Amino acid sequence: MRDIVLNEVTKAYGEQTVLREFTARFKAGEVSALLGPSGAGKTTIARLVLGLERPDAGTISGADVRCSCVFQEDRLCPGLTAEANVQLVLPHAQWPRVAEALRELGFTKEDAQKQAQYLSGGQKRRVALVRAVEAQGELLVLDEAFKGLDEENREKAVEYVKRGRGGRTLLLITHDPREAETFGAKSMYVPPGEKVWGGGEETRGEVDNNSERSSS
Amino acid sequence: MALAILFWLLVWQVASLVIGQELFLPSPLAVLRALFSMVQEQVFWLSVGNSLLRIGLGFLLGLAAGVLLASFSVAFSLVDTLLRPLMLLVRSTPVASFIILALVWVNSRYLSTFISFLMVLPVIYSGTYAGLRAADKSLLEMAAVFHVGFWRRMRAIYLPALRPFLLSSCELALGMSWKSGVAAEVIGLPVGTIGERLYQAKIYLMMPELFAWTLVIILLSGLFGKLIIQGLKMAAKNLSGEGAPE
Ligand SMILES: Nc1ncnc2c1ncn2[C@@H]1O[C@H](COP(=O)(O)OP(=O)(O)O)[C@@H](O)[C@H]1O
Ligand SMILES: [Mg+2]
Repeated sequence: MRDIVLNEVTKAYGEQTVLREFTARFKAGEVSALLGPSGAGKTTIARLVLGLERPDAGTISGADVRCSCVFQEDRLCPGLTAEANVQLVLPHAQWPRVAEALRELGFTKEDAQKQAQYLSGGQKRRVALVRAVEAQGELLVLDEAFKGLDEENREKAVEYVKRGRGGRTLLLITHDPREAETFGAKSMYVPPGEKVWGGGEETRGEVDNNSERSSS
Repeated sequence: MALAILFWLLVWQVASLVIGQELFLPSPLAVLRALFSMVQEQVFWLSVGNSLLRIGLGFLLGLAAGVLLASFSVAFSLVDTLLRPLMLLVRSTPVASFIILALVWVNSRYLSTFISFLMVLPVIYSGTYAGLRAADKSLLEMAAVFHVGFWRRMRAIYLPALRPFLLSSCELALGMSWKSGVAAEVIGLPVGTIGERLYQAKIYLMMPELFAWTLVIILLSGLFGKLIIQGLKMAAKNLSGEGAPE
């Protein structure tokens, strides 16, 4: 596994430049957190890393690996059951462990067999989380994955992700600095607007470890 | 609904009494009598069977080809570009022109198959095309990230999107296939078909029979349609597995 390095990445949607010469390094096998206000460009960074967007300028390396992720939206197939939504991304041989994982996150047998369209918001979030953690890959991207979970379920989910991550590189996107802390993540703050991140040569290519900057 | 039908039957009966001309407007009772004597003849069942098979075959071929071609169009933009004007042409050409052309090109035996196929094809094509295009982009993106295979993607994402489009275009195409198929038979007069019976009823001025045959066509088209729609619904249900992707 290699570090994932974004080097002076610029990305614009039409007139709006979301990232300008953005540089960061997400260490292989470790947890990195992206913090920042809504609209700062966190999801855009995730999409670039996942290969769903191409940078207008700059390079991304180390990201051409198999990924799994929790999208900011749940992106569950509405007609499939909770269980089937997870099975969809797994080879047949790994299906048996899906029920187990769902139960661990507080799903009853009945709820696991409910179509996703009839699940509550928190349940959908947890199904998306199980799908991402159970799927294969070297990189796990969680875009506000714990949003909308109550305290109890959030704790369960965090424990589950910590254990289920294995040795995978984890990119954690969140509004909440405490969430990054519980993962022992190296945090970096994505400022809103078109500001250049990093600035000085000495910080370029490094993840900012100063979580004070993340209190937005 | 039942009351409304009864009302119009009464209107029909009264109108035919007022006109008093069996040749112009037969009464519902006369039509019913004609129907009863018709079904006792072997030629009735032969004609029904022939027309049902041929028009039905045309519909099924049109359905299969429409779904297949539309799938290719969605997958490959070159196919899309090539087929677009062709489908537009087939869709806007008058049935009558096709019937005349078909009489020159193909055996009149399979005239109604050919015509029903041509009527069904563009309708199913555009329905399938729209349905596949309506597949949720964000789910497709999810499937790409997770390396979800082709068949699983079909079942979990494309099929649910396609279903309502395909069902409504089938309902539309079903009516068209029967109307155009019988019209083709009336013009091409293949032996032992409903079209031939209709034509004979016309030249011998057997109005009750003409009405009775019309009734038979409506019933056949309705039953055939029910069967197809039910079959499609079941197929979709089995394929999507009501939950399980495999
Ligand atoms: N596909 C898109 N088209 C146009 N604008 C977009 C698109 N995706 C994101 N943006 C814009 O880019 C900015 C950053 O969005 P995003 O990366 O989602 O921020 P965050 O995840 O930090 O809230 C926002 O202003 C958003 O409106
Ligand atoms: Mg976001």
